[in-house]
Amino acid sequence: MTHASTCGDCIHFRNDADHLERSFPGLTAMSSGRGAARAADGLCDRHGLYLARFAYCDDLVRKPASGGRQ
Amino acid sequence: MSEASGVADAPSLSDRSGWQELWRTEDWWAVWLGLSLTAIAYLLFINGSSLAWLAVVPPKWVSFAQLGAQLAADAPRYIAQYAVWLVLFTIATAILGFKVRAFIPAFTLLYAVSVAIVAAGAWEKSQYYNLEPPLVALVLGLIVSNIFGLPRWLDAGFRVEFYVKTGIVLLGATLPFTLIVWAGPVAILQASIVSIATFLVIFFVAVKLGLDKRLAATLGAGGAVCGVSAAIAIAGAVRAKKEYPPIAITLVIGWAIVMIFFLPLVSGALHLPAGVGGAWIGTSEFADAAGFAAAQSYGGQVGPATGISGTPDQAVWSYTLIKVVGRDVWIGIWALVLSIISVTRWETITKGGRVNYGQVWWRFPKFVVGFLLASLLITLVVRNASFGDYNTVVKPGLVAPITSLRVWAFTFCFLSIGLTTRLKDLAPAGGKPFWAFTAGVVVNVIIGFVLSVYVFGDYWANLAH
Repeated sequence: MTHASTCGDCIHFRNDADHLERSFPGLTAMSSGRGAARAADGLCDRHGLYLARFAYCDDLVRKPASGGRQ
Repeated sequence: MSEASGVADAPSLSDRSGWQELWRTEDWWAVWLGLSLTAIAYLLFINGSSLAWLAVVPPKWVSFAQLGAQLAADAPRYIAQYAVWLVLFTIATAILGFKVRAFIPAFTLLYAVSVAIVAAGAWEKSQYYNLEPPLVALVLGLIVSNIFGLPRWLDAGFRVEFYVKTGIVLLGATLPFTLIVWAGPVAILQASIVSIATFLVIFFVAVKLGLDKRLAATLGAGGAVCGVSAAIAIAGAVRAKKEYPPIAITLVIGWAIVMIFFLPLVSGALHLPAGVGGAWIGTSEFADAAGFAAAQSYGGQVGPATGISGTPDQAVWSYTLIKVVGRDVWIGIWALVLSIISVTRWETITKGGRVNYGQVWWRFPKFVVGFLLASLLITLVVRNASFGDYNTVVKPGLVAPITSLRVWAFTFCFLSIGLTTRLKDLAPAGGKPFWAFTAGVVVNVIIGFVLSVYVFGDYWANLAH
């Protein structure tokens, strides 16, 4: 286990558009997970937060080099 | 891959801040499609041809027999238009991560129903019965999705934001750049007053009711800036709990749908000029797509029968200036300011003490770039045309076809709003968030009305005269 530098590199962080659109009911009715306004924000499964990929905490775990969740 | 949602391998957004953003966001795809169509229209025009053949819309009709004859005669044009839309949107959505085999049947259904809706709006008595295409599309979509239901994989073709952004870029090609420069500062001033007041009311009422400041900020942005998109942008900026965005989404959708009907209804009852009604809608509606439905609907009511003066374009233009230029473009600034407050003032599990100033651009609604470029391009093209030449040559040969394509893009959007708004899926908002948001709605509507009608009323009533 290695430390990630930001949430964007962390195994607990998911920000793919499909996951976001399924996690936020109604999002696609008047917005989108594929719009520019949300930048690359995503969900932290560890802390239950929605946050920017450049945030960080003490629980970061770096994603595997390949095959990790995005 | 999620078969249920018609989504293939959605592109990762983990590194979207680089060049990849140019083909991995709906904003940029709307820019590419809108500008391409505008450029093609221009090239055909300067070579003595026109995009008018492809940009067909049902003309006014008085009987079903007449309508049927018109549709039959123009069938090759509709088929060609459908094919062009299908190819363009399929390429874009495939790259955005949707399965082609889900998108094609979904869009085919969307186009077929859109033809029926636009045709209904061309009925000579449609204004009398208030059969405005945006409202018909919305209501029909809501009935189908909430009473009958459609398979969720069809949502791949019901991309509200993509269609409305494409329509906005096309709208730019019909809006003089000089008008943006002339009216933009007033639009920004009016929108800023209302946005700041609305945000502060929602935020402080929410905090007073005991809600978390992050939820208060998420709700405030949803009501003050650009609806759902602003709510999730601010939720990310302030590191909200994952339960907060769905609460804001529910409230924004609920009030936005109410306002689609309320604002044009009250504006019409007060006989507000088209430009004034559009300005009020731009100030007091919550989401771009919902606002365009309301503004286009109100513009469609212009005429001696309703006593509403002005032109349909004025309603859409004043709405666009306030909503897009006055409110949407500032989302990055809102996110930056609130992220600074969040990081420095509000306790959090996460750290990330370094505030990232790049988000001002990352979150910028890029379709606005296309909107401005399209406006600039067409304005430069027609700058030497006389008023007579503009009306007899440029308008029918260049501007009108682009306007028709915009009508189609917006109709796809309005119908998609209804088809994707499944009320039973929405998260329960709870009493306190509801009352906080509603307090902002009341303030927003009142201040928006006063500014649009009394303070800047003459300005908006005479827009582009």
